[in-house]
Amino acid sequence: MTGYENVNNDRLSEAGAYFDSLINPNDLYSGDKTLLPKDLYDEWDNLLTIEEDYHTEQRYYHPDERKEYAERVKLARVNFKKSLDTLYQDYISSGIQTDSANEKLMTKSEAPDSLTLMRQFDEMKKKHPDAVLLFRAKDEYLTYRQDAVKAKQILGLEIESIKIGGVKTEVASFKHDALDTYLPKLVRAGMRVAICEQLEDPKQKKKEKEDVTNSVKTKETPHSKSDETQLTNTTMPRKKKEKAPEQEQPKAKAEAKTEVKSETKAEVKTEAKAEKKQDTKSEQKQEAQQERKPREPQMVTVNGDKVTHGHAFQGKDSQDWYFTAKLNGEQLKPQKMDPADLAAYQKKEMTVPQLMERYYPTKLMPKVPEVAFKTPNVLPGPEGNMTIDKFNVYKEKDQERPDYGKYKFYAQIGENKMSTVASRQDLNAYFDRVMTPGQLVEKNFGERLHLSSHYQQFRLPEGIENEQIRIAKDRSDGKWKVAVDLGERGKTEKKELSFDDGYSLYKTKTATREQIAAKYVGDEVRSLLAAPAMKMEKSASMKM
Amino acid sequence: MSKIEYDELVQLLQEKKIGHLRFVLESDSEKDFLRWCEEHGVEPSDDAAEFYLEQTEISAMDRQVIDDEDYGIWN
Repeated sequence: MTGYENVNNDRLSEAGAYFDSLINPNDLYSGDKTLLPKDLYDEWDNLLTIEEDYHTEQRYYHPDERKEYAERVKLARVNFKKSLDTLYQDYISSGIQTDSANEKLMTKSEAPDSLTLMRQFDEMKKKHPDAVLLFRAKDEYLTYRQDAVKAKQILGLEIESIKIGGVKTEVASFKHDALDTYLPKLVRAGMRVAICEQLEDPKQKKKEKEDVTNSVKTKETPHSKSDETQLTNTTMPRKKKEKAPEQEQPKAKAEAKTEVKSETKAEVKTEAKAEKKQDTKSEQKQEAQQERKPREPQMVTVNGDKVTHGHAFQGKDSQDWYFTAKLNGEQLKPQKMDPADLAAYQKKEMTVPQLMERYYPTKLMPKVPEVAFKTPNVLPGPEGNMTIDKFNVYKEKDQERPDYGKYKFYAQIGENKMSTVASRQDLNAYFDRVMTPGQLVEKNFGERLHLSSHYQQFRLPEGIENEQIRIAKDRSDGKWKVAVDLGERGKTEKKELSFDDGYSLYKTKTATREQIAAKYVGDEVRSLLAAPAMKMEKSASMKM
Repeated sequence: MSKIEYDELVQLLQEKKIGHLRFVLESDSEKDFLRWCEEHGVEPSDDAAEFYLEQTEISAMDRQVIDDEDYGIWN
C-alpha cells in the first residue's frame, strides 16, 4: 500500500463518521459536516462564510454586484457538492465502510426513488384517503394505484403497470404543463387533489443546483432540516433566524382550493427553507407589491362601474359554460352561455363588453336616482293620478298556486293590491335600479290599472282600417273576442279579451280598438301580411 | 357578536333553522344587502333577502372554479 493510499484511506475512514451521521441516506448534503475529512470540511466552511456574507451584505450591493456574489455562492455550492459526491464514490468503492455507514449506504443503493415515493404515497394516503395524490417528478406528474385508476377514468390517461419493490403498481402520468388542464377536471369531477413534492436524491439535487441561475435560487436550494440544524450549531448564526419564519405553502397550487397541502418532505423542510429564505422573500414580496398594479378594467359602464375578470368557464358539475365578471371587484352571478356565444368568444369574435351587454344588460344601463325608490311614484290613471303606496318583490310560497316558487312583483295602489309573476329582465332591472317602481308598475300592472300608457305600446301595421277590426261577443260562448279581417289575405283567429282589456276599451276608454287588436292579434296580422308578399316575390323571380 | 361560519350558515338555512334575512345579515353580504334595501326604499325582510341572494349568490362549486383565475377563457 502506498503512502498516498494510506492517506486516502484515512480520509475515507473519516468520511465513514460523516456517512454515519446521515439522517437521510438519500441526501449526502444533510450530514454532520464537522465529521468530514479536513479538506472537505474547509471547503464547507468556506462555502458557509461566503454564503453568510452574501446573506448579510447583499442588500447593500448594487444589483449587478449582488448577481455576481450570488454566482460565487452558487459556484461554491456546486464545487462542494462535487467534492462530496466524489468522496461518496471513493468511499463506497473502497470497501472500508463501517457497518453503520454500510447499512445506510446499502439502504441508499437499495432504496430507489420509487420505493421512497411509494412510502410517501402510503403516508399521504393514510392522511388523505379521499384525495388524488399527484407527485411531481422532473417535468411530469405521476399518480399511483387507485389514484391512477381514477385519473384514467376522469382524465383518460393511460395506465402503466410497473414493479416497485417487487410489487406491481399502476402508474399514470402527464406532463407538468398539462396540470392547468387536468387539475380543474379533477376538481370538477369532485376530487380532492394533493400535489406532493418528491423526496429528492443527491443527483437530482445536484442537477437542480446546477440549474440555478440567480442568487435567489441559489439561496433556495433545498436543504433538509438536519442540514439547517448543522449550519446553526457549528458555525455562524444566520441573521434570518432572528425573525419568525413566514411559512409558505410548499407546493400547493393556489388555484385549487380543495387541494390538500403537500405534507411530504416539503412539510419537513419548509420551516428551514422559510427561515433561510426570509430576507430574500420579504424583499421580493415588497418589490412584487410595489410592482403589482390593479387590473385594468375591461370596460367601464355608464355608471362608472369597472368591469374586470370577465371570462367564460365551465360549470363544476356540468358541461355548461358560464360567463361571469367582477363589477367593482364584486363577483357577478354567472350566466349560462349560449353555445354560439361561447364559440364566438373562443374565436375572439365576441369581446367581454359584448358579452356583458348580452348577459348583464341591466348592469350596463344608467341607474335611476335613488329618490325614485324613496318617494311615492305617481302614475296618470284613467280617473286621475294614482299613487304607488308600496312596491316590492317576493317569491310565491303557496304550493297550491301554479306560480309557486316564482318571483313576483307586488304593488299597492290605494285599496288596490295586486301581484304578478315578474320576468327575469324586469327582476334584473329592479335589482340593478335601472327602472323606477312607476315604470315597473306601468309595465306589469298597466292592464289591471287600465292605464292608457300600457296600451300605447301596441300598434297594428299601417294600412289597417278601423272597419277591418271586429270586436264582438261570440254567440257560441258569449265571450268578447277580437279579430282582424285582411280581405284577400285572410282573417285572423278570434281571440278572447280579458276583463281588464274590455274594461279599458268600453268603461275607462283608455284603450282603442286598434290597440286591443294589436295586443291580441298583431303578430298574426303581420304574418298574414308578409305571406302574400313572399308569394309575389317568388312569382316575380320565376318570371325572370 | 361573532359571525357564523359560512358553511354553518348554509346548513342552518337549508335546515330552515334560520331564514334568508338572518342568513344575509350574518354573512359578509350584510352591508351590501342593507345598502341595497336603502337604495330601493324597502325594509330588510326575508323576502328582500331571498331575492337579494337569488341575484347575487354563487354556488360554492361555481365559486371554486371562478376563483381559479388560471381557469376558463380569458380575453
